[in-house]
Amino acid sequence: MKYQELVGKTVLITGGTQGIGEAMAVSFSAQGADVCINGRTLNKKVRAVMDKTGARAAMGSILDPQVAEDVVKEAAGAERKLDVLVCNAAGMSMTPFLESKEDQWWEQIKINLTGHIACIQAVLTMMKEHGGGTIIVISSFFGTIGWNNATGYGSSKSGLLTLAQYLARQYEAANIKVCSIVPGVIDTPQLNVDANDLGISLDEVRAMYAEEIAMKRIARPEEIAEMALYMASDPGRRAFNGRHVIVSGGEYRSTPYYI
Amino acid sequence: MKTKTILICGCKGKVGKAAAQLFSSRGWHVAGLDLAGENADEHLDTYISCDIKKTEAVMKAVANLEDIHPLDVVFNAAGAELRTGFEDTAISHWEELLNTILGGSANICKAAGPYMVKRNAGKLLLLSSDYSKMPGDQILNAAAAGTLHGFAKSLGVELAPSNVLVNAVFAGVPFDLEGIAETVYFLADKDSYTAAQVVSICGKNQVGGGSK
Repeated sequence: MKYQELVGKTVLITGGTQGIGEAMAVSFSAQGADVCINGRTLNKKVRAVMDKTGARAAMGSILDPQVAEDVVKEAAGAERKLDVLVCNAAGMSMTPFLESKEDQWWEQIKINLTGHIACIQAVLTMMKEHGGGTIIVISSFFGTIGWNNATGYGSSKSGLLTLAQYLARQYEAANIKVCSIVPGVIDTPQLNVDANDLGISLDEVRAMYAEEIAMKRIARPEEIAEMALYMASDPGRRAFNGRHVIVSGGEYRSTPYYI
Repeated sequence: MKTKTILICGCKGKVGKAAAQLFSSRGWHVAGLDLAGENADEHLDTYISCDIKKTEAVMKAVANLEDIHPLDVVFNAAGAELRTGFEDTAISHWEELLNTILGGSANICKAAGPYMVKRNAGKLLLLSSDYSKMPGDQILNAAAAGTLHGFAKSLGVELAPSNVLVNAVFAGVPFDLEGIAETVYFLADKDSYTAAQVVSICGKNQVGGGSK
């Protein structure tokens, strides 16, 4: 056990049914945390994740702000206790901006940014009641450096990064820490969107990205989960409060600017 | 040398006014866009009343302006702010803010972009407010402004091959109006290789910033 302090902690992971979210469900469960995963549809795949990890589920699309609030309340349970909120759910569509359809373009922003604002609004009172908590925000290098055909997703992910910095500053005194991860290219189903955008296969897109990364490979989702675990730990949440770490195999280098 | 044209969105605001005055004084043709019905600003050669949140209206407005003068530069200074804090703001009010800040920039870029791409020339400059030195709960104002960073960088990458330079002008609040106007002028008039960036500038009374 790496982080004793995570034993018994209640952790809600939005978009916790696949990809990075699923990996985090596995990692947090292994640390003895009480994990609740959120996804849109309770299907066989989700039940498999629940079986594998022992996690419970609070289902619903955070696209609807009321659903977002309900999901948080369900995860927190009767004790209204949620120690860690991982803002990971993400929709992504890629098109040249000038050709984009308005509704589709905005939908990912409404999930990724507005949906999580609703989740965080719901969790703050509860975290204050219990003397603190940790919010972990999953951003993206599409947000920090931008990417071709990713204006909508990029906007939502850069908005999340700013949101996190300001939340951390505002809620410092309440012992609510807000830490962000900027993942590079991760081996998850979301890569299908990249592949479709480029008109190539999933394997081809993996190889394409890998070639351009210093470490010459894309990440395993567990590698992002590892950073999330640390950010939930006592020393990690102190060290990275109001800050972000770019976990990208050597790419998208920057010197961070903080408020 | 042909006169260049700038469209300033939010021309009735402090930043828009300052930019209009500067560009006009330097011989640019200045078109202004804002909500108000009429124009009383002597620095504007053309004025269009338009709600920047409304996609179709913005498309029409830009089409009308392009008929008069091709737009060399668009500077979107149309802004909005919430006075309520993070916990006291209804999601619908947040969405209204985002529709102005991100939606406004998205709409004007979508409208003006294609003309610039066709000409293989143009600049889209988007004002993003930097609240880092402001007291109080600016969480949602800052988050809305922050969406323009990922937007400008992504759109910047998309349009750069067409020599259309998209940048966010990330200006410290309280605004140094002269600093913003001059920087926008520099980017509009002189710069030719800054693209897909967040250009961060000092606010008033900040290190390096003006004290006027």
